[in-house]
Amino acid sequence: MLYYDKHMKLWFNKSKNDVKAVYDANIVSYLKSIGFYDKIIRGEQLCLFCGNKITIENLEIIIPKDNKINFVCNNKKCLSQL
Amino acid sequence: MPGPIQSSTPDLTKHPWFNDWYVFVISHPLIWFVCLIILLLLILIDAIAKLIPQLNIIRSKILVPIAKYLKYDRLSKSAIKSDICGHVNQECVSMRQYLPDGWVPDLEIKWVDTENYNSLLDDNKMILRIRPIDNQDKNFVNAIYYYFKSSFFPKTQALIPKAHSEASILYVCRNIVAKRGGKTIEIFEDEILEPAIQKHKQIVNNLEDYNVINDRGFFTGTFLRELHKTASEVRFTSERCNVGEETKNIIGHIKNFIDTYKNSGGKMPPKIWRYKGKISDYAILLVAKPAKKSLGVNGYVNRARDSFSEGVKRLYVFGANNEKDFAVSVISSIQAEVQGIKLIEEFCTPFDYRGEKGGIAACFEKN
Repeated sequence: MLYYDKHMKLWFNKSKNDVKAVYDANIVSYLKSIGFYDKIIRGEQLCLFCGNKITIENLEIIIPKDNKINFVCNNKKCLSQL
Repeated sequence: MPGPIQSSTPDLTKHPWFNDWYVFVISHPLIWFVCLIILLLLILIDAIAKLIPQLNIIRSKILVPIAKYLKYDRLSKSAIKSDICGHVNQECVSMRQYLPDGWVPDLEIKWVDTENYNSLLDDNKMILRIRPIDNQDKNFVNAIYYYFKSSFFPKTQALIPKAHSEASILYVCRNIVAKRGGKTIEIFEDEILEPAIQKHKQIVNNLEDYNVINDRGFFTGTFLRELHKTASEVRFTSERCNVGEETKNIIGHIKNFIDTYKNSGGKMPPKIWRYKGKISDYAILLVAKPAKKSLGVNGYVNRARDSFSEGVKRLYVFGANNEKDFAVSVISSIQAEVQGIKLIEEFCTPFDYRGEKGGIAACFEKN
């Protein structure tokens, strides 16, 4: 493989990395669909890292991990622990 | 005799509205032709934007102000996606030439509105919340950070010391974020970089080291590649616990190599060309030194052969910016003439080993 061939490949590398995202306006319907909306409203769901209550406003990331669904709040320190 | 069966649905072509429109279209062919051309152009741009990131950026520049004004969710989602994917993928194209193969696939934002509990668990991918378009700088910072987190050190991230895997992601993200302008860099530094440094104090030292070795092309050229290769090799052995120590030694060797190169005046001690650790074993070969250029490629081919016969696992060949053609011929000759080795990858470096912009390099491995 020559240097010049490598450059041709840069534009045609079409493998994708999907980042799943939920839009702010759809957060309630999304939480309802996965069955966590009521728990969050009741304040029963805690942040995976800081242990604070997750609310609709402070919810930032949803992480499926160890066969469980975890939630992370928007605290800067929590986000850096991912 | 029964008459012909009458259709219950009215014939739209006989409707007075249709007739008026038809007359309008016929009497104004230019307007309709222009509308058709615009529609076709939009469809074409949409299709090409998926292939060329710059067009996604242009699309986002049109959509973002409209979405901010109209506050229409569907338009906002489209604008956010175009903006993030356009900027990230544009940088990915340039980063792809420096980073190992497969490390920077194109970013694609996949919107999820509803999802089944079990499918979320099966998919095992984190879900990022994207705020309304007024917070687009924060959306961009979050998306790019989690994108690189899920792309860097594929399958070996768990073995690499956190202070290094995190620092290398932050280092690359910061360079990309800085190019976007606006408040993005401020948000990145305050909300991602600072908390990460507070958590791992070593990150700040690592970032300084990366600056030093990146200025000579060794950050992506040798450090990231060797670290990943080393971790991949020992992933399922007891040696995996030594990756942390090895990482420290590799970066120490590269820094020492650069210092020696800068201060030796061309006379490098033989030992400095090779690093032999508990797991990693690699050598560096710098080609295209003007004085040796006249001697042809044989001297470099012999050195590559000697390195492998001495037991080196991998050889990193680096060429200078202004002598790329010569470096390419050295790499091709090594590949053709040295037995028992294979060319893993040929790649570019942001700086060459002399510190000038743009270099070329290759990695060979023993069979």
